Amino acid sequence: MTMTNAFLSINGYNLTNRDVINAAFHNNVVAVLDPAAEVACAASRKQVDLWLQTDAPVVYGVNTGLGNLKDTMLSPSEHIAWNSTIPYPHAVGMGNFINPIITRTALLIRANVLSRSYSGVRPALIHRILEVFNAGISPAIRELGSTGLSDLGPMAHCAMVVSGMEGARVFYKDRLISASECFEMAGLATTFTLECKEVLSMMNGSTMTQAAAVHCIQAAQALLKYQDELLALSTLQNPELGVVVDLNIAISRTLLKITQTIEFENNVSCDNPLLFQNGLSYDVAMGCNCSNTQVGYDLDLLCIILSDKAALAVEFVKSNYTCEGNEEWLAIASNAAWHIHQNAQSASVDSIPTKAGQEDHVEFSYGAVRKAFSSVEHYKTLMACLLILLTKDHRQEQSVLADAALSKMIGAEDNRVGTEQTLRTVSHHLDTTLSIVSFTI
Amino acid sequence: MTIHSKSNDLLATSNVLLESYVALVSADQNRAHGIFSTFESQTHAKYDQQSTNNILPASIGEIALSLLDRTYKSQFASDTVARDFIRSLMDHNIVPALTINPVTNAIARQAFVESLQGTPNRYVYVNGVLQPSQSVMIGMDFINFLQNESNLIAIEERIDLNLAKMIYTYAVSKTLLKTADICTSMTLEAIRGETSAFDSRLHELGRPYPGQIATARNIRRLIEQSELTTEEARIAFGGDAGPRCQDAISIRAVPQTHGAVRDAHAWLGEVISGELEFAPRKASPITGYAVDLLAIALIDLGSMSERRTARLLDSKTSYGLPMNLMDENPGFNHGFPVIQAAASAILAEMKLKAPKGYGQSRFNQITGQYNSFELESCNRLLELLPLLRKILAIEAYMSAQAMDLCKKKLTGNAVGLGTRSALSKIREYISLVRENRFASKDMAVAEMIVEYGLLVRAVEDNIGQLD
Repeated sequence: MTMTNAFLSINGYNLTNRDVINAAFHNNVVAVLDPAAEVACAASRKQVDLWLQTDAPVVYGVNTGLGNLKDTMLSPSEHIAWNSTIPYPHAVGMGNFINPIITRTALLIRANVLSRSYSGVRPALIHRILEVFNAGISPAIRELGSTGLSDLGPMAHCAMVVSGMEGARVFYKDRLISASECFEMAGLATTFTLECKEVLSMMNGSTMTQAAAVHCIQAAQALLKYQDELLALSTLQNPELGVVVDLNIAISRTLLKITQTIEFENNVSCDNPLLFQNGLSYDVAMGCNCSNTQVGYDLDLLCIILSDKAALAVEFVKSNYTCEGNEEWLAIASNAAWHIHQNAQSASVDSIPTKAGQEDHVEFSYGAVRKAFSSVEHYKTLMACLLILLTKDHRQEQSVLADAALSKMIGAEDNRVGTEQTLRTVSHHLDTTLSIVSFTI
Repeated sequence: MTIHSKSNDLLATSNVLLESYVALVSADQNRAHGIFSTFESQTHAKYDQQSTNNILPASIGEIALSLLDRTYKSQFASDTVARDFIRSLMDHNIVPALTINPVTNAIARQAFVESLQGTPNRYVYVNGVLQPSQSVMIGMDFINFLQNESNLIAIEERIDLNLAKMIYTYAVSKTLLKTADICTSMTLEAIRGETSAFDSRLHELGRPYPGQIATARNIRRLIEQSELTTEEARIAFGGDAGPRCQDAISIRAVPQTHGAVRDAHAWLGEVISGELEFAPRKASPITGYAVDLLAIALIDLGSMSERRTARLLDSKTSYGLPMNLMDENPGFNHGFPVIQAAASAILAEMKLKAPKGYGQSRFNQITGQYNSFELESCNRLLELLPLLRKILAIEAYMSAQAMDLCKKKLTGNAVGLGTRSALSKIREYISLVRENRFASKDMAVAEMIVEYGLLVRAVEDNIGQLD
């Protein structure tokens, strides 16, 4: 990935997790479409335009309905009208809002997926998505309603925002407002017409899961490293050191494997159908690249290694801090660990047929990433407890554990602060220093 | 001497060694089939066999002995007495028979030694045939080696049963992955499926995970020359209302899902190869993580297969095949609904065994030590494999029925190069179901065909090695 000044050039092939996190947390990063990718996208798009004229083969989502209405044919004259309404029945989010950092990240990753040129969308669409991203705009999307076998629901909300459809809402400068109002404020065109195949290409992929997965693995890495650093600083008893070292090595290797899978997934054509050049023309291939099975499996594995690592933290706490005065913190740590252990189960082994049996197998990778986020959230609480106990412990070197204000609040000097507020403050401290986000707001 | 020192020789050969163990497991399946084929009534012999559920196949013990031999060669070469003992076992083709009972590592090792000592209720395999240890080992001179307490302790300490189990599960999973691709191809042809989903470009350019590329390639090779998976065949059969466009997920997402299972399988292979670089190895919890990931993935593989069989049952989702896969006197003849429900029930059992709650190391309140759960993870996978095998056997059984019913209508259309071998192999043992007949026996035979790798061998003999 080329990072010149604050520019991030995307071409669909080398977007790293670090690039994603950096761009998501810093509004001054400007993502642009790589010129060679733009040429390739324009070329494949011409084929879609040709199919709209005459003799088109049956192409899913180009001249057919979607899902189990795939056998219903659509005429070329209906496309603009169809693309202007088809996001609505797909935008099914319920519950709380997904964290705007994650939804904005999804825009960047989707633009990267489309820039590979196999989706057959206009470069203008990719520019539009990046324009919205670069303006610091986040689609407002509710958390529930996706299986992960393509995140149709959340990504339909993204399509609504990009197009400026009525009802689309965004988070912009910490305000929840309509997309059109936001675009006016930001100086962007208030509407963008989505043309043939473009709604499908916007929403037919597991990109919200992927955006969440990149943030989740980043947070998990940061928390596990933090635990190692805290325990390394401690002069207290760390039981069965040899076994702990072996386990830590295994966890690190497994975390690396999971991270690599997630990074690989940033740069695949998670979409269906796809176009491939064949001489001067393009063929269409309809398959199921809109799923992300490996990511779901690996996020399940992430929950297992978090469970193991949490057990080490709990043993350390129990061995060294089971004494009067610490009861509340021990109870909170124990409760957090219980949740982490409960989450060490596999979302991927579940499967419920959906859409009248057309999607007869679903692996729930979206559920897997939500579960992994839950583990990360509880892990943060566990680490907060660890930090608090170490900071309160006068046997430890205080200066290295937390900043002065935090130490003062945690320490006995400030008895006015209750347990809940202390936990909240320390958790916030971890969010800030480790760049941790929650799945919802 | 450093016990865990890495030898360059071992490093260079660990991948080759793993593949040789895979071949050993395959040979063991062959041998088991050889024994089976001597039965007078081949088709239902498997059903009549007495259950030996808790006893694991010979190849696990064989791999364990080989690993032990390797450890002695590498680190204890001067202990010629022990090496002679191991060599004698190998020369006599005697292999300890292990059990899947959930025991501790110490008890498992003890059981291994007891089976060589001729202890009552322990078993050994001799030339692949299971026999009571007592009747085989008592009287063998070389077992005097185990009379010596220090010899016995040394063998117990150095035997690596978990690694042997892992290698075995890796090998068997490989066969089951190929079997799943074969079953998919048969189902695909029976429903006259759409082949664009297996287009190499989707996988090699679009989403280039190694497992996905390999699965799609397998399917393309299996259905090569098929005239059933064409628009002409769909029109001629008359089950489609218009152009097919695309099939359901359990069919068209096979490269992505089976591919992800393959990627999990490949990671276990990498981890095992890493372990084989040491003899003896320095056990690491990463083996348990790799085994657990494969367990999750194999349950998903079972789920895909179960969904495909569900499609075959229903005329609407099978694009016009007879309801319940029964074309003669339907209603009186019931067909396959309960057979398919058996796959659902077995899948539910697999799901219950999914990893949950505990990973690979846990502080034990009773012993006051950290416990590894490598043994438990290996045993779980050993329990999952026969369940998956049964689900795939049901798909093989049903897809063969479906293919023949499809061919009844499309008599002039050729079947795929690979699938025709698979169908012929199944028909050697199980005939087309035309009336109500005892399902359990057919299902047991179908399982045997999968278990002994007959389906895979029949295909590979015709079209070469599958990925």
